[in-house]
Formats: sequence, structure tokens, C-alpha cells
Amino acid sequence: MMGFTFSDLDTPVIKGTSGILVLSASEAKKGQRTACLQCGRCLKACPIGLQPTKLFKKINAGKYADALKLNLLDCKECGCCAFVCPANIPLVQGFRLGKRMAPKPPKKG
Amino acid sequence: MKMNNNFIIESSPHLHHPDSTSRIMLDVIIALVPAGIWGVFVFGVKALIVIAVSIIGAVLGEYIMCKVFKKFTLTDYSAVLTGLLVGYNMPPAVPLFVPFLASLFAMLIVKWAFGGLGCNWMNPALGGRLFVFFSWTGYMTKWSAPSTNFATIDAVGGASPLGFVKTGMMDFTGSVSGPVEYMKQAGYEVGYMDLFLGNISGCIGEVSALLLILGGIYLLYRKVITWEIPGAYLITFAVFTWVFGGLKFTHSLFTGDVLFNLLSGGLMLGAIYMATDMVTTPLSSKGQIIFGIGCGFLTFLIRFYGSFPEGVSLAIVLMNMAVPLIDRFSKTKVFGVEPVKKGAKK
Repeated sequence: MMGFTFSDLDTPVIKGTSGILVLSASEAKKGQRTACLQCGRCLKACPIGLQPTKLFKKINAGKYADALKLNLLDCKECGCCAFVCPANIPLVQGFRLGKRMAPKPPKKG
Repeated sequence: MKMNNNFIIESSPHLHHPDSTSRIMLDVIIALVPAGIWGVFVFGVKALIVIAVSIIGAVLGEYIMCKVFKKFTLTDYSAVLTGLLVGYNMPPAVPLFVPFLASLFAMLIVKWAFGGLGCNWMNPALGGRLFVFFSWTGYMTKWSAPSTNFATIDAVGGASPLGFVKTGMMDFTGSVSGPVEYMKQAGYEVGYMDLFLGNISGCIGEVSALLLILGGIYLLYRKVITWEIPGAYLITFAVFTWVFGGLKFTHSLFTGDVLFNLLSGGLMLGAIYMATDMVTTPLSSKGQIIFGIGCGFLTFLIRFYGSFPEGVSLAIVLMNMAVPLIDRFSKTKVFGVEPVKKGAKK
């Protein structure tokens, strides 16, 4: 669920590689993306207690500061929300983008 | 990106639950079908035509808006579902332009004017129903008597049980134990079993409580709906009816006829299929319980003290409006983060 994708078959196996998962085409196939139904399944799935659908809408609208207020940085990208989403919204991808784009807190001192 | 085209490259998670938007809509449609077949069985082919016209209207509305917005969303079945629900909310003897306009209104104004699926704040089927209910109240309150004998199908019946009791009790001074006995005295015989099985007059899809509950169990099993909204809705309504329902019949508190009120009118259809519409309900479990309680309380108020015999559609739409507010007050608790107190210094 949290692994990252290799784009190249020549990527070497290193000491830290704990496992390689090969998914067949049918397993990796993703359903068609539709509009958010507000079903709330992502809220129930989130182990941290975030509101993934609201976070994603803020990020989608470019309101990164608002997303931070909804505890965006507490997301650990486990992928549970995107797994259950019936609308197949790339929630985790959105949160990664949001974390990159969000305004950085001022440095101390 | 330049890479081998045989691989799917995307962000994690790479696995997905097989449920999809169209599967959810299809499940609700499957759950609704038995109640519709029963409606057609007791009200005749006319009921089937009404349902068909509603679905055609809804799909047409969706199609027009798809063209306008240059999207294609007909395959997610949401338009068919809305049309089906509009059809279930129509009396069987209604002129066919009424369900057609209701479906069009539901699609064009209630759903698409706010941005289509997922963006509407009011349940489209209920919005359409209320629009035609207040525009053509006469047509919308003309009930047909149920009949399992096709020869007498067009016999125009009296009112639906709820409407009959409501108008009857306005100038009734005698003494009865409850609504069922009152109807018996007035020569309109309807027993609890008739209400449960659906041998009453009413809208096409709402008469059979049994089949609606069976569909609800299927939806719970498929996890399309959760217990929170129907549970909170029905329990709140039952409690208020039990406590205060007897007052209308000049009895003391705690004597209301819960069973009659639960099984009559559109309550089962509303609580299981309409109030649980994902788009127009709060996100969290806590919010959904608040929503259900509000619906139950408003339905009780409108049924017992309002001027309409049926309060379900109005109650749900009123609570739909409160959803953003409920969402704001029922946020989930974030793990390991202290709630920020108001006025606290940093």
C-alpha cells in the first residue's frame, strides 16, 4: 500500500529493499475517477482521524494554508483513504503535492 | 516521462477496493426494485408507466447537462436512481407530465445548477418531488386504492392512511384509542398487517414497508448505507411519537401509536433510501447521528403539528440545508493533536 513505483526494470535491489511486489494488470487496474460522493468512507478509514475529502478539496483549489489547518502534515500517506474511495480519487497523491506546496513554517531563532 | 508502456506508473496505494460510484448507485437501484414491483402489482401498469416516465425525464435532464458541461456521467447510474426515486414518490394516478417535470427539475436545477454529482446540497429526488408537490398539490394528493385485482384498478380511493387520519381528526370529538381504531370507526379499514405488507394507498414505492426494509438490509450488508442515519432517524421519530403521539387523541403522554406512524407514509422510503444519500449527508458518524435525530424530530413535528400529513420529504430537505453546519461541529478527532481551546494563548 505504501510502496513506491519503479519506472525502470534496471533499478537495483539494495540492502534496504524489503520486498518487491509485482501486480498483474488486473490487480493494478484502477476504476474510472468520478466526482466525490461525500460518502465519508475516507474519514472512517483514516487511522489519524483526518478528513481526507476536505483536505483534498482544499489542495485541489490551491488553498494550501487551509489544508495545513486541517492537519495536513499529520497524514502519513498510508493510503487507506485512497483504497476505499469509490470515486477513485488520487487522495494520497494530492496530499503529497499539498505537503510540497504548503507554506513552510517560519524558522525558529 | 519516457518509459516502458507496459507498466502502470502511479502514486501509492496501488490496490483499490472494487467498489465504485456506479456500483453504489446500482446497489441502491437493486435494493429498490422489489418495492417497485410491489407498487406496480397493487396499483397496476399505470404505476410502471409513471416510474418509466420519471426515469426517462431524469436521464434526459442528465444528458442535456452533460452536453452543456461537456462531461459524460450517464454511466454512473445516478440519474437512473434519481428518476427511480422520483417515480416512487408519485401517486399512481398522477398525470404523466408531473413526474417528467419533477425529474427534469431534480436534474437541471437541484443537481446540475450546483455542479452535478457530489456538489448538490439537496437530495435531487426530494427536490423534484417537493417542486411538483407545491405546484400541483391536487394531482399529488389524489390516491388510488390498492388492488390485487386488475379489474378494479382505476377505482379512486380515498386518502392515504396518514392523510385520512390527519384531516379526520381536525373535527373529531369522539374518543378512540389511536389512529387505527379511528379509521375503523370511520369505515376505512386498515390494519397493521396491511400497513406492513403494503396493502394501502399511497405513493408507488412507499407502500410496502416490508420490501423497503428488506432492501435496506441488503444495502447495510453491502455497506452502501450505515446504520447511523436510518437508526437515529427511526428511533428518534419512534420515541417522540411514543411520548407525544397520544396527545392528539386526548390521551396522556407515552401512549402514541408508534407502529402505525412508523409503517405509514414515506417514512421507510425516506429513512432508508433518501436520508442516506451520501452527497447530502454529513461525513462523520457523529454528524450522521445528529442528522438522523434532526430528521426524526422534524418529521414528528410536521406530521403531528404541521398542515401536511407527510413530513418526511420536508424534514430531510430541511436537514440537508443544515449539513455544512453539522459537518463543522462534528469534525473527527485528530490522533495525537490537542484540541485548540478558544482564546488560549500560544
